[in-house]
Amino acid sequence: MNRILPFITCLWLALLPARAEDLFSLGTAAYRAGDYVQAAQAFQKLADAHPSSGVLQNLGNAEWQRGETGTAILAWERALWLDPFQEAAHNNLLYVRKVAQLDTPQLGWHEVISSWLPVNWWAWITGGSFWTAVLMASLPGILRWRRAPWQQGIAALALMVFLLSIPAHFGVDSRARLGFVLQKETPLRLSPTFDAQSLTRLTAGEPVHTVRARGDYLLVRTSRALGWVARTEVGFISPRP
Amino acid sequence: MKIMPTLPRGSGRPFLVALLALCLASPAHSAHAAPAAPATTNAPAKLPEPETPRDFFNAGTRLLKDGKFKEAERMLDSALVAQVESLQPATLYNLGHVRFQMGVEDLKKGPQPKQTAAAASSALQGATSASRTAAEALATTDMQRLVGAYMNGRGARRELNSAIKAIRKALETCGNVLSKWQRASSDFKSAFELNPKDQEARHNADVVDRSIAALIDSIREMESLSNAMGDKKQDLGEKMKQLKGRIPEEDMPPGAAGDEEEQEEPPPEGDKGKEEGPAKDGKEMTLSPEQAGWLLDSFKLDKDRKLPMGDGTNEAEPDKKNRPTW
Repeated sequence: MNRILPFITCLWLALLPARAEDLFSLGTAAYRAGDYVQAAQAFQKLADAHPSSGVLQNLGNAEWQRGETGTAILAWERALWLDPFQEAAHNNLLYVRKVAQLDTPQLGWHEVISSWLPVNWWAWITGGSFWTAVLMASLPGILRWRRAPWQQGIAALALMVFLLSIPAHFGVDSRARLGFVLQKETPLRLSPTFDAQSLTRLTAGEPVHTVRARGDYLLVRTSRALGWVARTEVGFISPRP
Repeated sequence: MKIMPTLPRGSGRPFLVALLALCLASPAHSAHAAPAAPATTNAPAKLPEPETPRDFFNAGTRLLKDGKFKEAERMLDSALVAQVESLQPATLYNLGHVRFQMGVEDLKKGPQPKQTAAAASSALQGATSASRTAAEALATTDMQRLVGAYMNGRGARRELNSAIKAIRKALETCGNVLSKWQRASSDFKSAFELNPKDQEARHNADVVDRSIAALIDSIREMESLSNAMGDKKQDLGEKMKQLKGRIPEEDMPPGAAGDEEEQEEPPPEGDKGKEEGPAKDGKEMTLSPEQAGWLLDSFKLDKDRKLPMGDGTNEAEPDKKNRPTW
């Protein structure tokens, strides 16, 4: 078994790109043929296996074409989460929100900062700047170098970048709790129960902030009210465990 | 059924105590009632305005006990909207009570479904009989019978219109009650879902569901009666038209000219319709002895029929002194 396992892993790794490529081709061909349901399915599978900004952008387009505003907005938001420089997704969101008369998510200043760069970059920036500052401050002492002004300058600069990146991390964390209503006419419940009284109906693609969870329900804050929605009725930018 | 008690500040597990058993309680459930009642004074002090969700819950529960259901619902809704997890099961439980009681109050105030249905059945029977009489009269050339059938039909139609109005009002009331009870049932079910140990909530949901089923039966019965009355009204109207066509102008009983308008309800125009019109100098109608005889005979035909039902507007006003003010 120990000898077979590496072989299976290698085979899987070799087949995976081909399969991903197939899915992409399938999705693109279906989209061009006007079969948006199949295109969305193919892009969704691909996005689940290899989430990337481009695939999510295509997924959003396919979902929008088949009339699923909520899932389309979620896909484009995920595309921007991975790559904020994706202009097509940004423009699509602006257009769809205008057409569907939907609110843009209200972001705090730290969330806005976090949206300037891809989420992974903030981890690299924070880690890199921290260790640069530590190394620049400690290496001359350890290696018995003469302290030069440029070393101290770099250390100070790295420390400053590190400190500035911390709010962005909080922004990333709170943006991860940002969800989007998937179906139209989703009831916002007064209590986390099946028979709950409906406070209002949410529109597909409406942004919601998660406050807490209870069982199969999430307490969410919308621009209109605070209430409960079923977990399955909301999609999140960052899939959480 | 019991009401969840008001919560003292800082009470850890509020749902283990119940304070008051309501009249709807089943014997099995009255055993759970009220271990301890809070100290009260005879003079009711004016309570401060509720600020916290707990205050709203307590205020709502107090108002529920006082029978002020509308205000109690508002208070309990405010407590629920605050999304305090520990308060929600008890709040939902009490909201179930409030909404069920609101429905009961509506039923008490409005026309009783069973009595309305019985009166409607009677009106329908009268209309059927009048329609049959009219058909029989139309088959003859006897003017006395024609006029008698016409008069009989006119009375039956008036009675039918009153019954239709009463049924509509009863259906409207039942619709309102149904929506309140459905909400109450959902509230009890939600309370049970949040706290599966709360068997009272489950029992109450069953009680409300049974009441809903009975109400729906009444609504269906009234709807079918309403449809039947509508058909009968149309049938009778056609026969009345035929009778009217057969009776010469000089033999026509008094008031026959206004029959066409009588069929349709006047459109509501606020107070305009209530104003008294200008006095008309009418010409006194003279009746021949024959015509008087026909009229009297036609009234005799109605002797077994009940008097037309009121549409509920003439009901005695409920005792305002005993009504809660809200």
